[in-house]
Amino acid sequence: MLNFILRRLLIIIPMALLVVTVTWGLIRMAPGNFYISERSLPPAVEQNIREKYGLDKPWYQQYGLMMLNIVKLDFGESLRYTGQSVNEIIYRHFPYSATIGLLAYLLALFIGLGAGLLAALRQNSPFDYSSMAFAMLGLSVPNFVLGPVLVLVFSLWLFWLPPARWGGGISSVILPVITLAAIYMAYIARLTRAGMLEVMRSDYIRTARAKGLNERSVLLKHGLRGGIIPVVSFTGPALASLLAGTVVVEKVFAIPGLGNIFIQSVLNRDEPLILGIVAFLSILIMIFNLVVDISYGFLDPRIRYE
Amino acid sequence: MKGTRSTQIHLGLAIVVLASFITGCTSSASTKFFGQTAAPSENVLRYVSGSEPQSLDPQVPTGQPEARVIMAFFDGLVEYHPKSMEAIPAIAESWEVSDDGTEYLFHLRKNATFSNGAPITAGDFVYTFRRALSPELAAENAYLAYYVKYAEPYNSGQSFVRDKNGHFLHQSDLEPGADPAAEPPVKPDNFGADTEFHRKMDEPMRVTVPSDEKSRTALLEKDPKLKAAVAGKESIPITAEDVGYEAIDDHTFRIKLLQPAPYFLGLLAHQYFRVVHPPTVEKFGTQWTKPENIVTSGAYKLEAHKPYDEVIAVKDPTYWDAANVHVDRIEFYPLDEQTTMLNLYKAGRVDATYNHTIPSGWIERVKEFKDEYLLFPEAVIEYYSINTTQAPMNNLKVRQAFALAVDREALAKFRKTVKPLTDFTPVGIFPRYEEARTKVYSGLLAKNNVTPEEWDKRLFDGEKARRLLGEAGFPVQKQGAGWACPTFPFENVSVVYNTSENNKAVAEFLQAQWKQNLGITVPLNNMEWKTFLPSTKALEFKGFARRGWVADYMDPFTFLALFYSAKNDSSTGWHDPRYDKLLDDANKLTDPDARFEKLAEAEFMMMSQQPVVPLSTAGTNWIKKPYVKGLYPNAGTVHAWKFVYIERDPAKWDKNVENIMKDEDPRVEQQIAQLMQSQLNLERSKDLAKNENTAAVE
Amino acid sequence: MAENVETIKGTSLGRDAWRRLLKNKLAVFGLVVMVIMVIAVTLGPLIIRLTTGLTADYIPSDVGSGEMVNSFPPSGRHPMGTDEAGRDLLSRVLQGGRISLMVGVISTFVSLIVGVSYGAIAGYLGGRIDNIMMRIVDIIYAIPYILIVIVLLSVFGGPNTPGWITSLAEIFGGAGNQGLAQIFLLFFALGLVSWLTMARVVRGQILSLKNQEFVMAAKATGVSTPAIIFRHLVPNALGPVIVYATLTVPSVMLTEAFLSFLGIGVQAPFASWGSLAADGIKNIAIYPWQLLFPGLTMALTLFSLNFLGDGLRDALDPQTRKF
Repeated sequence: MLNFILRRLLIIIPMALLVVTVTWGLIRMAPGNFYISERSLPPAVEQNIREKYGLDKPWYQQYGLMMLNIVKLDFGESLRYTGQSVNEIIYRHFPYSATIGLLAYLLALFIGLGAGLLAALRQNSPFDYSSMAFAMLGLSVPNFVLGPVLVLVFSLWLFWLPPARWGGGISSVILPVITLAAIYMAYIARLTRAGMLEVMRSDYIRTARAKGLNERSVLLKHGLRGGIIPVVSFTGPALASLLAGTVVVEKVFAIPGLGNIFIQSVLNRDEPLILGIVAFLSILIMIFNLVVDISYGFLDPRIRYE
Repeated sequence: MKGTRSTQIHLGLAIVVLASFITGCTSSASTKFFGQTAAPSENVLRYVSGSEPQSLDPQVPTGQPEARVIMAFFDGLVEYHPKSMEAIPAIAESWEVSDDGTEYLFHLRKNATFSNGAPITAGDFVYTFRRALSPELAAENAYLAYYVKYAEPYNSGQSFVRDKNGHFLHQSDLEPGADPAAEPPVKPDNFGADTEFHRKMDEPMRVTVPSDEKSRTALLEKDPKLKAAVAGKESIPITAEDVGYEAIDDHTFRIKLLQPAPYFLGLLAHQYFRVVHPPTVEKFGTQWTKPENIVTSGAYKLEAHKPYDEVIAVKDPTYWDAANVHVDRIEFYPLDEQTTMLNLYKAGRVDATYNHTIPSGWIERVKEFKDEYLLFPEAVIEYYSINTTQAPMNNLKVRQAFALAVDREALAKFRKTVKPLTDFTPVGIFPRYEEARTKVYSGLLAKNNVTPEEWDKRLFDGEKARRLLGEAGFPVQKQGAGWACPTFPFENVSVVYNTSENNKAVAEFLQAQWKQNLGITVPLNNMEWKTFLPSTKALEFKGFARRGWVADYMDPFTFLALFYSAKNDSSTGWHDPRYDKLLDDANKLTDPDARFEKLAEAEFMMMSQQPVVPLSTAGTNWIKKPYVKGLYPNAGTVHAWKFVYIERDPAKWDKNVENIMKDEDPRVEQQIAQLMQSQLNLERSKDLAKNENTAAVE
Repeated sequence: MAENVETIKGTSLGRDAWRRLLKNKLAVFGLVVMVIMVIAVTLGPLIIRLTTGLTADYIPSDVGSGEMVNSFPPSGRHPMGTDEAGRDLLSRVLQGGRISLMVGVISTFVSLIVGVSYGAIAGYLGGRIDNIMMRIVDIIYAIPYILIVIVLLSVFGGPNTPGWITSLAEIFGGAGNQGLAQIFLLFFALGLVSWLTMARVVRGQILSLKNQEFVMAAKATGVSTPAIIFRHLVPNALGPVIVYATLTVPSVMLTEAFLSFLGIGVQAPFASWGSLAADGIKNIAIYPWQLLFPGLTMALTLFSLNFLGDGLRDALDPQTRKF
């Protein structure tokens, strides 16, 4: 087991470098560059910029230089926000996204898991129908609609909560977290229910039932472990993308998180910033995926890692 | 069981949300103010400034969002008048312009200091202005200073040409019969102190060639006369010291221009010309604008900068005009989501927003709040560039047909904040220019056998558009209730626009117009900005590209210059040397009206070739709380923050103001008058001296 | 591989399953709604054009007065009202439905085919192959799709659109439709990023199934590996897969909406339900119908898709028969 974890941890490094390489290639394929604007620069000035950022070198030298710096964990300075290093930008903005994302995930897990379990337990009951219908509502309303509707009600009619911006303490976090959590809540509820129903029909649960255990302990002691496997597979990428920030919520609520900054960096062709954020997020995602794979082993004794 | 309860609570919440959403649709605002409006308890202004500033370094960024923020932190020689945007004294308490209009002499006030207490001197301006042009900084805004002597050659890495005897090659030497060996006559103008530098500036323009070997050879190959003149001479790279900026003493600063540029003074209030503290810039390099390093020169100091969240400006008590800075703290919020900022406004958490921030759907509603909603003409135009290099748009008649087939009044009604535009310079911004233009146009129209009625129908004339298209070889036929133009090469036209809500709406509208009036469906293609730019610059688009242009300074030239020179930035491929000459000639004229008439001739020449489809002049379209005073919807949406104040007494708030631009706020007017005093005194004394002189002569 | 999946569907979606599906009222409701929806978006725009002359991109032509270019509440002529440019919202919702349904179907189909095969193979084979395959998934997963979409749309957009995409677009929208070709490009970009989670879900499921007795039995009787994967394992994992696929449909539709929200989605004057909702939400307090109708249509569709998916799941699940 330990061996497995170590191997997977080690492989993350070359994989992150691969991700960076592919991303670099994609950026280079995209038209435009960071300095192009409506006004044409004099050719000599453009030449100066290209020299300053090493863009006049052959591509393999540029690539090599970039990789060398990345191995040293130095992503350089942002091309747009001059004077700000990429590391500094990530360090500054990640906590916002992480706070909102983590809270949203906890909320989604708490409610989604509970609702899904109960729905599976009381399959075809009114609760099952209503909670699943509600989950579908969560899946059918885009968060760029849900967010503004929540703002309209709680900020502009009731004046309970601030409509946007970080900085109002807990009150400024509530609406973004609910907006962000809604869809994940729905996913988790549905995956839990489906997974549970699947497991409830399996042989070992029937055995447990046959032993005369009561339904609740069958469900919680035996069913839950197998039943939430789909939820667990969903958790890794979901948590990673939640922590990475979601652009819509950050835009609607004016939260200075990483998601919005990433979109801006792509639109600005801010290569070092794009690469830095991608490398950071890819490592994050891969670590979460590793955690997911490890947790399979704990949840389901039938899975072995050799 | 916890899960159940939470779900039910959540379910209940959702029902509340839904129910209130449905009922909310019918509720309407009958309140006095737009959203929560309470008397402020502090002198704090919370302003939405647009997207995150690229940098707080005044010389680096080009955008308006940056300009608004930077203006709080940095002062220039002059400041914008809060309404008219004319230059009013700032660090320069007064200035003089030479008779030929090419030299400016600024008298700096002696009590101006940086935020660290260091005095602001003419030397600091020289440093700032040279830095702004340095090829190393590669400032995008450098073109703003190109009318300064040798600014462009320095910025674009050029060299002088010098012979063995130390004589520089001058442009006058290239004229037939000139003797390159002889020094050209220097005509000293006695404007300000006589210095060696000044005499150098007063000599005729030197020849400049690219320092870079390859481009120089390329240039010389094309110009045998120049090649002969340059042969055997060495090239001396132009340095910052060669540019026409001079500190005569600590408090006198002189600028030498290539040729008169009557708008130049107004341009100096631009953030690009605002002074920075040289030792700080030198010491910290790119890090100098960090809150812990920055030294500012304006009315406010930088307290905090949280990117994508806020920029906090606090009043600098050591600022030379601190007594007249009324707002203690400005919080700039770098937001660009319209709905988000309006929500903040409605919740009373923001006091004012930047321009173009009310979505067109909201305007009907917001304009009821007359003292908050500000819609005034703006020095911003919207138009479609036509790629004139490709068929069928290389045909003038086709271009004219497309331009005529757009109902601009309908477009203006649809977009709600704009005014129809038929020429290239904005409507209602330069009244004096428009007067001159009317005069020039009526003459030119008579000469070209165009009736004024026909001319006025440029707003929209579907019939003529169809006729022109027919004349161009693409007959338009009646088809059902509409039109069809079967022979038109549809695949060779399209509209490209950069992604934005407004651009999309306008493109869809134009598409419908052309379909309904010409029977031609032009496909639309939106691209994000950085994809859009290279394609339009390289004229890779077919047909039309959406463009907008914001005035850099308050003069029609800022628009007309877009078509100046062969490598202009108009993205049309259109160029005419006669047009360049008209513009050059115009700027040599010192009489403003005569100059405007020349410019109008140029505009007529360009517009009669229809390289663009003019669409509209924008409106300011922003909103402020009634207690924010001294913040005016000027044509550039740039605000001199020291005129702004917060009126805490609700009785004195803006109330039923008919036209805030004409309404005189005594507090602001008095503050401006006080600042103008030094300049007026100087002008008066000069007039007096002049009169005395003439009297003495008599 | 597509064939294999088809055969499985063919064998298990027998008369039995169909009868079970019809017993499920919600699923039947979903099925009926979807059939109506597909018919409506296919024929609706044509019917409207023939009866009223309105099309999704028709901006009123008596613009001389400018009065018509405005957003009007629902009326006889415009049952859903008009948008800000005075365009008939019903036409736009129907036309938007075409795009949105195509996004959902095409992208989910791509994700289903690729994701299920990939995940099942990786999960069953296990060991080093599983490891490598899942690391590849991780790598693709870690490249933000927004970057992929921008690069795809700008590199292969406009004049560089691949011929097969243009011809595919022509089948749906007639010749010379540049905008539609861009939209098809978007479908594929979306499909190519949304199979990853599917693969992970399937793999997780297969991992937990592959040590069960019936697999052992199949192995012991010498059934070939592909047959074990696609005949025995995949059908048993189909429950979560179908549920996940029904989740993928709204998810790709929402992703498309999100791209429209950022302005890099559907090309104007085309619209999708997502882009209509994104436009409508701005004016929610003033012109509520601009959000209400596209939003409700979209929600109804997604509801139905989900009900249908659940019904299918119950009907298809081979294990249900044991009870």
